[in-house]
Amino acid sequence: MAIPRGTKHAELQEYLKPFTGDELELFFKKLATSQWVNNEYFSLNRLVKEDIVRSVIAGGTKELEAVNKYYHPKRLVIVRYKNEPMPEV
Amino acid sequence: MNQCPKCNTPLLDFRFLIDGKVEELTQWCPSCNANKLNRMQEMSNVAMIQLMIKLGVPNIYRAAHLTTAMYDLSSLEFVKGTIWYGESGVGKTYQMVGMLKEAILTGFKVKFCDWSSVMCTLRCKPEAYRDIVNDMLNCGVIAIDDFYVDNNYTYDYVYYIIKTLHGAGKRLLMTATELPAQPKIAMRLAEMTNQYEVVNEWK
Repeated sequence: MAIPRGTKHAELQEYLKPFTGDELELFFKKLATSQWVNNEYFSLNRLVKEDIVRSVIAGGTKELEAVNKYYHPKRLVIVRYKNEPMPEV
Repeated sequence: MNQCPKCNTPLLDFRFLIDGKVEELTQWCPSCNANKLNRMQEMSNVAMIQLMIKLGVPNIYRAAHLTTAMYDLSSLEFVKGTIWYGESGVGKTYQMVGMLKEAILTGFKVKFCDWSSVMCTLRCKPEAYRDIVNDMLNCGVIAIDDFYVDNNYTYDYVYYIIKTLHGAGKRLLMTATELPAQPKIAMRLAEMTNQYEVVNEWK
């Protein structure tokens, strides 16, 4: 795996700054068993560009709430009747 | 609204599927032309069922149509796609096939995909993903039944498919047990679709 230098190195440092030590530890732990590490296109540059740390450590109820911020679902109530026949074709 | 010169009934527009093509009748009187309209509707229903068989829509959904609630909620202009999600058996696929029929009558070329079948193909033959996407890109409206992204092995392929459809501005109709949570897929699906949680009220 190529080690980033210059600007890319600075970007990697900047990207990793907001994560706590525990989060990074969890990331490396999960990364070791994830598909990402087997991907031949995996690089530290891609890790920054595609926000792979957050993708890999995501999971659980809390993250699900954060993820669901993208959706704005509505409820569709369909009235059905007991012993309703199946539609005929 | 224009009225019929003979019986003063408001004139309406009708769309039928005849011989695999959409035929539009504009400003027709539903009373004076009742016999002809009924005949055309019957022919259209048969043509639609034949098309559903050709598209691979499962037998129990071939006669599906949109419920009034869905008509009220959704714009049928297909500016955006739709995701119906909820428990099994609540009527998600039924609504989706109903919407697919509306898309056909609006003039869209459509495709119906059983997602579990797509995933089986990807697992056996991952390089098939390009053919799957190209097949989808040939259509204006793509209906995906029972979408899921639980499998990490196929995540990259699924993401590529969704990203490509998003980039190409395709209208996506989709059913799922729950809304996909992966951020990059969620962002695109949220932008492409209106989302409805389907629940049943039993009477």
